[in-house]
Amino acid sequence: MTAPSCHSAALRAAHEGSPTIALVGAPNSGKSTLFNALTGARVHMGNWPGTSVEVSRGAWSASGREYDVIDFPGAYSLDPASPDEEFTRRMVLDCATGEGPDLIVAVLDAANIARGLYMVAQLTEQHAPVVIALTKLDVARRHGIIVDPSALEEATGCEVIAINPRHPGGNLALLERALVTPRHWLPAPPSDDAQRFAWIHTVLKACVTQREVEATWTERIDRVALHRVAGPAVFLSVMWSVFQVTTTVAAPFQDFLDGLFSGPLTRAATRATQWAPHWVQAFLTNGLIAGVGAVLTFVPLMALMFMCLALLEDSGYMARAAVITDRVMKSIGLPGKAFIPLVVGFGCNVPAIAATRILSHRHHRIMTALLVPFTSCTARLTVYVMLAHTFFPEHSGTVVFTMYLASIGLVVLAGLLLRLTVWRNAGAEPLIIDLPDYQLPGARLVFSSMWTRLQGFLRTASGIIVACVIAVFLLQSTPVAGGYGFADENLRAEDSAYAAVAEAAAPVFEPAGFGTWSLTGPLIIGFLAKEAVISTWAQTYAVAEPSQSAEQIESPLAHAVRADFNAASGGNTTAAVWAYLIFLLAYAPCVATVAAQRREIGWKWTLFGMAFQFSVAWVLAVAVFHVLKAVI
Amino acid sequence: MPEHEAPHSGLVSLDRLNPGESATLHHIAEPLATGHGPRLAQLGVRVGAGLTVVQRTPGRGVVVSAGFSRYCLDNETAHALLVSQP
Repeated sequence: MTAPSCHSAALRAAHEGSPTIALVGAPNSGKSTLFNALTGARVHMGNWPGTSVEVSRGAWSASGREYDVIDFPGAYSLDPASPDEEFTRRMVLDCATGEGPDLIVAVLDAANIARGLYMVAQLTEQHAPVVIALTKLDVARRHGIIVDPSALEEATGCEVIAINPRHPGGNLALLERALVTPRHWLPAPPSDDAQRFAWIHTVLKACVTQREVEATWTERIDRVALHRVAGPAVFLSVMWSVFQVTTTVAAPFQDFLDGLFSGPLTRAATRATQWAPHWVQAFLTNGLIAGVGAVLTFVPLMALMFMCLALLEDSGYMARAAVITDRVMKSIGLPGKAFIPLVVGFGCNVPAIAATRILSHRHHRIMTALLVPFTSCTARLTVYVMLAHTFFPEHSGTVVFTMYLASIGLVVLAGLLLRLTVWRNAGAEPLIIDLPDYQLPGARLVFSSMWTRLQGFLRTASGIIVACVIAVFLLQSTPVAGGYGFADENLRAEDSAYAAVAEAAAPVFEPAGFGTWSLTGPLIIGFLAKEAVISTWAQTYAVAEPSQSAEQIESPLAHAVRADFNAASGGNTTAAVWAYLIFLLAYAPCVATVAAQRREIGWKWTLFGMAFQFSVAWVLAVAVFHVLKAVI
Repeated sequence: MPEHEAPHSGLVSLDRLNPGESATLHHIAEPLATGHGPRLAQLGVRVGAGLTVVQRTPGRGVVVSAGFSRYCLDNETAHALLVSQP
């Protein structure tokens, strides 16, 4: 068979020529869990419809033979209603020409057996070699649904194996026996919708019995989790917890790694290269070590974020979160679950971009990934606080709060702009979502999901981050005035290539009231990390950063920044500072966010997003400056 | 007048049902029928199917049980499903 080429998450591949087994089935039927159980792979999976938005493949050794196992995206049918289903359909139709997999395992959730049978009917119509893996019999039993595998086998004409891939063993040996035993595949007669539904009715009658049961735990929890008043309160509590974990809990780990790289490792590298010219030392410490350190300080944050997502997915809560936020998000053309990455963005944009993977449709992922940088991350908060203390000491709290309101307003504004321009033909999707049973998340599944996602981030994002850190180091180290060497210890900021670039960019910001190189330059460095804006000012004015916020009002840095804004704006300082704050909020994602965007939505959309953000930020900054100049 | 507001003798839209009430699906109004009718049918929400409203959700949606499964539908979708009560 020709290997699927789109979005293959490559694991240990089977040997060339190995028989191919395709896992297909409805979303949340246990397909990815079975894949993991077979291959031992760490594919992303979850108790959430649409988890398998990519194709994963891995090797499975059974009875002395190796099989190439492919986990296809969740699909209810072979009717191409989504790209995922179109892909599965093409694969199955290839079966008819001998190009498809050697065997198709249709994973059927016993608790929701009716909706999985439609796909089985279509598969057998295509003369596809199908074995049914019947999962979640325990869940079905709790709902009073008893499925008889033998009767199902007789009614469908397909071999049926009852398995529980969530537990070690889980009858996989039976599946192994079924897969390695050659057999003749029987076609089934249904050929149109009416006949398929009649066939499903007959099959259900033959193999399912149902008895009345008391409300399950899931139904009891949903009475609260989906309650009109209590539901949003629960959702906000869950989101608050995620926010806390990704900021507060991650912070000490990030501080430790930051301290390790900027302290002992930098000192050790300096000692080890004392023999080398100064520029070598500077490149090693301020370029390479700083770059790698920047990547690694994100690891605790990303790991915790991915763990939270895996917990929400595997527990079954993610489907409820989508229900709660559906109406709000629909106003900007996004499904309810897009709310989650946007909330996470207020902690840090980088894991928020990664969280867009919970969205099933590509255009929703792209749009959300373009909106996330408008959420005001905590790195920007440090700059707001510094400017608020410096210029509005009596109202600094109100200023910071206003910036968060502005951030929410920007997300809505940008969402509407994108919806009315780029995605004007994309209608709002109706919410039709199945509610999986709640379950205790499995530690192994949660950690393997976290690890897989973390590896993906490190693989694709680290190169870009390190490259950008080095590029800025080179700019700051290259003199453009005489009397300095490269990376000269005495090189003044205004004599560096960094200042020359900032000087060239400054006229662009004159209409916004901050068109000087010393105010523009920190925005360039802010592309690396927003919190670096303050330290860049300190370097630029050759003054120390104040260590306490109380010191900020009268610090030399505050005096220098006030004088700079006053001069740049022709005396309209307040208007220029607000314009600067708005521009800083919206103008560009940091380099780590760009790396994450590039991973999730590709270069084309990432560059579009940067241009879009810059345009929105510039227009708003100019508007804010002129409006405030007129009224103050 | 949208189709689901047209008179269908004895039919009410699903969003009018109270939690605990059951009904039989008789008609799916446009544009839902064309856009998502096949998907709803595959999920068990098809003409002739019995639906029970389990609870209401924020945003005026409903949780319904159809066959062996439970789904959450938003208000617009529930409004386009016309049902008859016994």
